[in-house]
Parts: sequence; C-alpha cells; structure tokens
Amino acid sequence: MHNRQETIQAIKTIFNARSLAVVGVSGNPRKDGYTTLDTIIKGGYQGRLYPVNPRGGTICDVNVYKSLTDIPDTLDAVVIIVRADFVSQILEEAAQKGAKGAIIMSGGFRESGRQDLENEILTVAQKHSMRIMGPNIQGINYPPNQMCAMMFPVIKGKGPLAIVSQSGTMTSTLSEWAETENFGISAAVNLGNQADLCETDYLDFFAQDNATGTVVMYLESIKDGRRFLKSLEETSLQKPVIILKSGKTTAGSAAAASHTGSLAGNHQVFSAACKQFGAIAADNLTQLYDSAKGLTGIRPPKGNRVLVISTSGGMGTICTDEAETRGLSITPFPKGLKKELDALNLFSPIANLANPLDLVDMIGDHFLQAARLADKFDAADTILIAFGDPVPEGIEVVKTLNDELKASLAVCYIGGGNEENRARLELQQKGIPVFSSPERAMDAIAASVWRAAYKKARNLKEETA
Amino acid sequence: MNEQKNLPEVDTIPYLKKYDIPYPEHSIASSVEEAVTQAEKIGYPVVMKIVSAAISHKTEAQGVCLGIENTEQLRHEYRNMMTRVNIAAPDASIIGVLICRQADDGLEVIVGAINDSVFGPTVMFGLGGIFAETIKDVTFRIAPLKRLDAEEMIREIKNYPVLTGIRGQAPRDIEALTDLLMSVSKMAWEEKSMEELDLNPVRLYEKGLLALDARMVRKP
Repeated sequence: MHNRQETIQAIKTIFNARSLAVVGVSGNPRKDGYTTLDTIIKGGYQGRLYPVNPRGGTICDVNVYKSLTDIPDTLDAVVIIVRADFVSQILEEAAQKGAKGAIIMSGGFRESGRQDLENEILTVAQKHSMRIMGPNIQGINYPPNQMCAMMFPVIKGKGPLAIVSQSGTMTSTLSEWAETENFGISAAVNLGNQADLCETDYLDFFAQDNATGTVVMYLESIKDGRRFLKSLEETSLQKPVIILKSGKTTAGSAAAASHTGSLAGNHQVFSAACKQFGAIAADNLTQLYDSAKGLTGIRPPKGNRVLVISTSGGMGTICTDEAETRGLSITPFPKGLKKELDALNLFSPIANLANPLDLVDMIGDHFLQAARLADKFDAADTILIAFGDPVPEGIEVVKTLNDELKASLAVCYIGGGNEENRARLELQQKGIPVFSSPERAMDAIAASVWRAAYKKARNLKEETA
Repeated sequence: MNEQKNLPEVDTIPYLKKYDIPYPEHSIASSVEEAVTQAEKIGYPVVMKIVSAAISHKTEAQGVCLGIENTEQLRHEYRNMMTRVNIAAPDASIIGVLICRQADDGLEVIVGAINDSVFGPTVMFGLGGIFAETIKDVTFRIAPLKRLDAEEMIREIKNYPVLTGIRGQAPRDIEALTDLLMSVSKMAWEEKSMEELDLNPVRLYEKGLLALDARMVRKP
C-alpha cells in the first residue's frame, strides 16, 4: 500500500520529468515507437530526451541510444513501448538510471491473459519504489511540462481541464475537443490496465493540482469503490468532477433474490454515488465535455430559472423544450419587465418580449439592453444568450454582459458561420464557453445548477471561476 | 440454494426491532389454538403468514391470508392455508404461522439494501408494493447515509408529489420515512452478513409508517 501523499508526489515527479527516456523507438512512421517520439518532440518537450533502440542511429533528428545503460544522465521517467515480456528488464535498467516512474504503453499484459507479466513488472517496480502508469495505454499528456507522451495526437493547449480515461480514444478525443475550442487541458491520462496508479490516485492528484479547474473521467470499472468515493467527495468540494461510466444498460441482477437486488442496476447505483459525493454523472461523451465546459466557465447559478434571449423563434422554442426536459425552468417575465422593455422603444414590432425572448433581429445592442433590463428585474438565475445567425457585435456584447450581469451567463451560438467560429475561440479564450446547440447549452446549465445546489445544501462556499 | 441464504421473515423481525424499524404487533403460533389465542390478544382484524424456513416467497406459496375478522374465520383460514401450502410446497417443513395486526391502508413504498459489488452496502428507496419492479421509480445512496442524503433520496423519485399529497390526499410522514432510511442504512452498514434486504411494502401514513413484510438475504 502506498501512502497518498507519496503517490501524489510520484505522479507530480513523472508529470514534471526533466529527463525522459523513450524505450522502443522506431524509424518506421507507421509504428507506435515512431509516432510516440514524434509526438513528444512536436509537443515541444523541453526536458532532456533520450530515445532508445538497440540499433542506435537517429530518428526524428534525435540521437538514439542503444540501451538505457548507455545514457550519460540520470532519468526522472521512462516511456516504454517494447514487447510485454521485455518490459520488466527495461524497468530494472531504468531504475538503475534513477527513474521514479514508467509510462508503459506496451500491451500484452492482463488484458491478454498475461497476469503473470503484469505481476512481474509490479514486483520490479515495487523493489525500486518506481511507479507505473499503464500498461496498455496510449500515453499521458501534461501541458504544464510540455510533455505530450502520447502515441498521438499532439495537444499543446494549456487549460483548466484534466482528463482521466480508461480508453485511449476518449483521452485523445476529449483532448482534441478542448484544443479545437481553445478550452485547453491541464493533463490527459489514459488509465489502461492500472496495474499500479489508478483512477483514484489521479483524482487525488488533480484535487490538489492548481493548474486543474475541472476533472472529467471516462471509466469502465473502479478499482476500490470506497477509496474512490472518499477521493471523489474531497475532490468535488474543491473543483467540479464529471464522470461518464460505460455499462449504462446493465440491468440489476436477474438472479437477485430480492426486489431491491433486481432493481439495482450498476448504472443506477453509480449515478447515485456520483450525486451523493458531488460529481456529475454524464449520460454520454458530449455531455461529459459540455458539462465540464459549463462548470468551468458558467458562474454557479442561484437556482434553476433560465431566461433565453434569442434572434430566432425556433431557437427559443427548442431551448425551452431542452430546458424543461432537464428540470430547468423557463420562468415567465416578472411584473413590469415587459413594460420597461417596451418603453425602450428599441425592439422590432414583431419581437416577442417574453421568455423565451425572441428579438427577431441580429443587433448586438438589443441583446445587451434586453439582458441588462432582465437582470435588473432578476428575471432569471441564468441568462442564455442564444445567437442564431451571425451577430457581428456578439463577442463584445457577451464580454460586457459577462462583466455586468448578476445572473449567470451562458452562450449558445448556431447558424453563425465564420462569425460564430471567431466568437467561439475568442470567448473561450476569456473563459466564456460557447455551446453549439441548445441541448448542449442546457446540459451545461443543468450541470452548473445541480452543482451549485449540491454545494448550497451542504453550506459549501461557491468557488470563484 | 437460494432458500439457505434467505432468512425467513420471523428471523428478520429481530433485526427490525434492533434498528427501530416499525413492524406491526405480531406473534408466532405453532398450532391453530395458539393462533386463536394470539389473534385475540393482538385484536382483529389480523394477517396470517406461513412460517417455514423453506418458503421465502410466501405469497407464491399461498402462505399469506389478509383481513381475518374473527376466530371462526381464523380457524377456517388456518386449515385452508396448511392444505394449500402442502400442495404448493410439499417438502417444506412448517414451523407455524405468524399472526400480525392488520395494518391500515396507506401509501406503499419500498425500502431496501444491497451489497453492491463496487461500493458495498447501498440503500434503496422507491414507490413500492407489488408494482415496485414495474414502476421502477427508485433511488439509491451508498451507506452510511447522512440525513441530507436520505432527504435528497426521497425528493429525487419521479413521483415525489405522491408523497407530499396529490388529488386531495394528505401529505405522508416524510420525517418517519427519513428515519427509516437512516435505520436501514445503519443496518446495512453494521450487519456485515447481510447481502440484500427488502422492506416491501412499507405503508406510509400521515403519521408514522409500518414495514409490512421484511426479507433478508445473507451472504453465502
């Protein structure tokens, strides 16, 4: 058993490795041994990098060492991409070079019925107090150290999102989404077999990691349920945690002798555990990501009332449907608000001054005036600016409202072409998330409302964004 | 196989007592004469349930008789039940019958516990009775529960307004229900040999509640 602080420190050491060996590099661009080295280099790693292959030579313009023992330096960590039955020998050599941790990408262990090989590497690691990430992983990425130790893709954008995923594909997908939108990541970890370091160890790490604002997890199993819940409870007090767990359709045990047993599906129990310990259980991958965006960028709403201000009747209507299926309330205007909006003498005669508020036109100033007045009347806990079609002053309007509004602000942008794309990147840069459909925006708002209510019920302070 | 793990209701009752879970006034009788004496002491109407280690699904074995109003009916039903059970479960050895005071009508909910393979002792609450598995309006929390967890569980079911009173019905005793969830949580947490627990139905009243049936499954 490892002590929690030691484990956090070990992860920190691996993530911040200043000297890194990559064992099993290859000159063949189609092989993992090549793409991994290429990704580390393109990721901009600034530490001392030592590729290893018995044939030596140069790959990606970097000198290749014939063995770990040839490296004239001490190592902090080692990336291993060799055949499973060679890994324990490599670990021995890496330990001699002072490596504190190994990122083992190689497959062919427990997942292939070779528990014996997995036990072997654990024994070696324990003997030398080394820690293991993986095996059977696509890698890990830690942008604060510009260490993208992944087979692919190259992801460099720093941001508040920490990704922990059983699956390599989800690790890279979520990283790419965050990169594409300027959201950025604090880390991405592929769990793989979790022979040593497991989901809970990373959760413990990210709880105390200042670069991390929000944690998303894709899990297929949990190593130690009780330990996980304890960590989840502590972490979610400090920052949002959103989890997607596969196996949603797994029903309760048909063989259960009791009604309770037959009603208790794995997913129901897992979702309940999330609710109880402060995490959001996402239903699907986009909801996982959107909830993370929302919880990072939307200020905690005071309640579930939402006001939709839109350029389009259709958008307002869909927003209303999507809000209500999530338990959000599209509340009627408070007394007097419509009268004051009318008095501004600003809006189109065919504008619908209600909730959802359909401005009909695409004039940024109209959004600004309507939102300001609605906020003065405390018309909602969250105001959703729902741009349909390009709104040229959209970016400035949102920035201004983000500074001014007492209510929480959320933004949805569709049908805006280049204007929309520009707004998405520029606003996300400012920490204001933009959602690309009403349902995605409502997922994010619902997650924010839920978490704020959870914290309020427990008398916990709201974190400031 | 299942029968060995299933604890008969009469053996589950002491646990209910230990954890302050309200159960109707009751007594065990091993003969028809004893049954008559007990029923008079408890007061009619009464419910009669078969007591046999081999029968866990009493209803399926036709081992439950509700609404017995007097001595004559009790004697008659006792004989009938013994005949029926003999046909339904010929090999079961019968200890006797459980005589319980017939509970007033009330809103039926289910409260239970399982030992989840990942998280361990877990408590369930939902709308109950014979439709529990069809309605599937249930919520879970991992034991041990804080009181707030129990409160959130109750508010979380889809048909929560049924508890607060709809269509002219009086609100149900949510405080008592919260107490019950806390008791079941404590029981699930402390009784390490318990694998599953069903309290179904639990009748929920304007004031108080009663668990009318209790079934425990122990670890093999």
